[in-house]
Amino acid sequence: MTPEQWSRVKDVFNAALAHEASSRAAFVADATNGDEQVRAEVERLLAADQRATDFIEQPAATMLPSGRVLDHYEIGHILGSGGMGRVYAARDTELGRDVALKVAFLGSPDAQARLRREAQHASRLSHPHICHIYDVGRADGQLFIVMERVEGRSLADVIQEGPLPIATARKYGTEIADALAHAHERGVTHRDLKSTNVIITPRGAKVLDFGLARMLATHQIDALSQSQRSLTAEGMIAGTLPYMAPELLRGARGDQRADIWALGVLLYEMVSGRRPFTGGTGFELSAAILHQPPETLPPTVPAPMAAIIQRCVAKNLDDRYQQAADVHVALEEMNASTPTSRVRVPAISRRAKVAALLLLVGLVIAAAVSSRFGSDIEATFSNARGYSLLQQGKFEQALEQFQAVAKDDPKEANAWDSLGEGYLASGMPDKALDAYSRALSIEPTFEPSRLGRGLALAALGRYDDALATASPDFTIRAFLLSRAGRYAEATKVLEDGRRESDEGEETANALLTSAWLSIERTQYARALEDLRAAETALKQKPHHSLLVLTDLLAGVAEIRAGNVTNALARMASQKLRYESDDRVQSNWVAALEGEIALAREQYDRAMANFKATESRAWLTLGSGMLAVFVNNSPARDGRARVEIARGNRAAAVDEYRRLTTAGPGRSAVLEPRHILALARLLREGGDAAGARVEYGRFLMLWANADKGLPEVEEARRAVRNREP
Amino acid sequence: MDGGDVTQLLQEWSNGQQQALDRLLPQIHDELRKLAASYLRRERRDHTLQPTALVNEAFLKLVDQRAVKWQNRAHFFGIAAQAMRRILVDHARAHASSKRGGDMRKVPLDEAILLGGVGDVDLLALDEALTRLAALDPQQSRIVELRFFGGLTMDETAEVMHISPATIGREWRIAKAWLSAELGRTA
Repeated sequence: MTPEQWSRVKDVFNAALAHEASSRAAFVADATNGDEQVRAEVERLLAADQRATDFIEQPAATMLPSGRVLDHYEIGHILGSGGMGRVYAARDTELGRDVALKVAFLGSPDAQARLRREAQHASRLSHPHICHIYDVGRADGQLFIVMERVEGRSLADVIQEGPLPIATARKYGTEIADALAHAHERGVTHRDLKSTNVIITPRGAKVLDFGLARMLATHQIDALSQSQRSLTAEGMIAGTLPYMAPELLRGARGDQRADIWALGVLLYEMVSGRRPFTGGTGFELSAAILHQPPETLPPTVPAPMAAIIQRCVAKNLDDRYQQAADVHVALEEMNASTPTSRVRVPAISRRAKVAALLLLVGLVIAAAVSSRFGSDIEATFSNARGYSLLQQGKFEQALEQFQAVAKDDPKEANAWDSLGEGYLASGMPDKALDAYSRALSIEPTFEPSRLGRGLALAALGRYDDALATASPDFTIRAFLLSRAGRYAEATKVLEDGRRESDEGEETANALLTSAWLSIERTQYARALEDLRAAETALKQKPHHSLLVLTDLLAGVAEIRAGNVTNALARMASQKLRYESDDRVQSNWVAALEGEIALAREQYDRAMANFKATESRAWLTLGSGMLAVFVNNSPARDGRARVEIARGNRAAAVDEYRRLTTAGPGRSAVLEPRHILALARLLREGGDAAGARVEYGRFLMLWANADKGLPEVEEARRAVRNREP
Repeated sequence: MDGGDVTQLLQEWSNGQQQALDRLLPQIHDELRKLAASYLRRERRDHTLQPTALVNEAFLKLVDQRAVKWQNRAHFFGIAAQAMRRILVDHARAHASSKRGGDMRKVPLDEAILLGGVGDVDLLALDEALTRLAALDPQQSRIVELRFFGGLTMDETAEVMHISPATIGREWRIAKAWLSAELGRTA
């Protein structure tokens, strides 16, 4: 086919789409002018077009694969993707019904909790033209919303093919107005009504995502503050803006009348195939919405319909319909066969002076918004560069980058949070603490900052303070408690937390933490029991890193219990699971290998393995306990223990001192048990004074420890000098 | 890798030096692979793998943001979509040679994730058809690359290609029909 022929094929194809299916063949035959090759190709493409509706509409890479199970929902193919997440076809295996399942993109637990509340609120709505929300749940660390499965095409797709017949537009408009009226009566506003949120089904229009839109803004803020700004977030704003009422653009919270405005925009789109307000950029579009009359409707639109639209998109709130029910009535009463008439372009408003003033105010606000937006993006870019440097081990450069961002915009919490992370990774927990405190003074509830502050305090040995920062992740809380010797509380936190956990990752995290605490307290049988339970929890939802960690802890428990053979079996299993070049996992593989070598008195080998486990800098990337275990692996003091086994007490002392002091690029954790080990070494070496100092430090760290712990008794005796 | 390299190459490429692309592609390709792998291992706070998120992150990592113009950003997304295509097609090819009984869903979960959204599409056949489409209509082939492999929306594609969204919509529809016909698809 020649380029000319192909170009002809495209023209005829496009033109043919405007014809009814029945008359297309004739049109194509006529339009191709006897070029048989072109005609055949157009026919072939038109036939394929009919079948290709959802073909390659979803991007090739995506997250949830078919066949995966979330809670009692079996995930099927992807249905679509929107601002807040992807929507999958799914089957409720308990109730045996088909549903749609939206997996939210939300990050922080706070944001998830809010979305959950909103969705629960919206789930009370039951209306034939509202997509019903059945359930809101969390599994595998992901929040999901279970909704009625609505089969059909989005109104956006329908409009894209051209204007709808007036009667059809009126029917859908009536249904949407009725849906809005139902929700408004129950105190739920939509806030993000747009053509992609309306699905046209054989039984009429269905409005999606009722009451969830308020989360959109929260999510956008989240996305920004978590440096995960994506094109999707930008697209989201682009998709929502054309439907936004002027009062929303001015920053008002808006009420049900903002939904009525959006309904007006939808009606306008349905009858004309165009939007009432347009602009090449967000700025221009906002200006048009704020200050210009809607573009003239085509003369084919009947006057009553035009009048209803006009009143929906009245810029002044008082001029607009006050209730969706009123729009519903107006549309019902409208006689679709009314003769057509031109819509009058409104004359200059009698409020011209006010409008002029508002224009000025609007421009100032819009300018402020857009410059704010720009600086956010720039800061995000610079921050990302900092993280990249950090991961390459270029600590100084990374810190410079983070410092520059924080200096540019000292009121931006995210900049300080990143700087904190930089310091933490660079082995400077004291400076990290300052940076995190600064971040939290601006944004006291930002979860990653609170976690970072907690970890910085922990690294400085201030475990009780770290707890006051209170991470909502109960496993981290339990970890911090156990560091302060508060095992009873830690155990309780883990047990309580587990009762509310989803089966799977959360439960496994809790069990792994619990097993670790048991190992520390030489309760190996109990640790192994927890680890078996963790494996069971992970059976449904295998999580590679957690399984490798399970093997590590089980192997360590076996060795300490004296079962090297069992530990070897664990190592074999761990190696099988370890297939990739993942650094976290290779750390844990080396850790177990080191422990086994040490138990078998293969000291060189043990040393080499333990060295390999320490190569990682302290990064808080990663979720919850995974991050904690990276920096607090049971093998962390492996080199010191090898030195002890070799009889090199002095070298072991040095090792423990090194472990508990920070250095550039070196993680420092003021680990009470390492201080205790150091004290014991000094005492055994005859340095009673040195030992007393370390025992004293240990007691300070464990000031609030459980009553009657043997370690505390030992330290007290040593400090009181009753025992050399 | 030094961010400056990629920035420099992008600038050279947008100034019309075609050989810059040959050096850019492998770098972006590597970064995307690494990022995809780390997403799959759930090292991230965000567990949702999205091509746009990956591409965006790669951009942030590789390109010196102080030296970059929007123009370059658009170029970057264009190349990244191409790199995503290569990664996904390589992935599919590796599976095609290793899978047992031809059932894609038997592969381990972590690996299956990457191709989850493809559904019934034969990625290798699609890739070949897309190469043929490029000979016939390079612009349409690019649109498909950006939309399907890069995960960009219509509007984003329009922005990257400097074409109106309406044109993108029309071209996309024909490209879809053509590819679907080539693949002999019935659904």
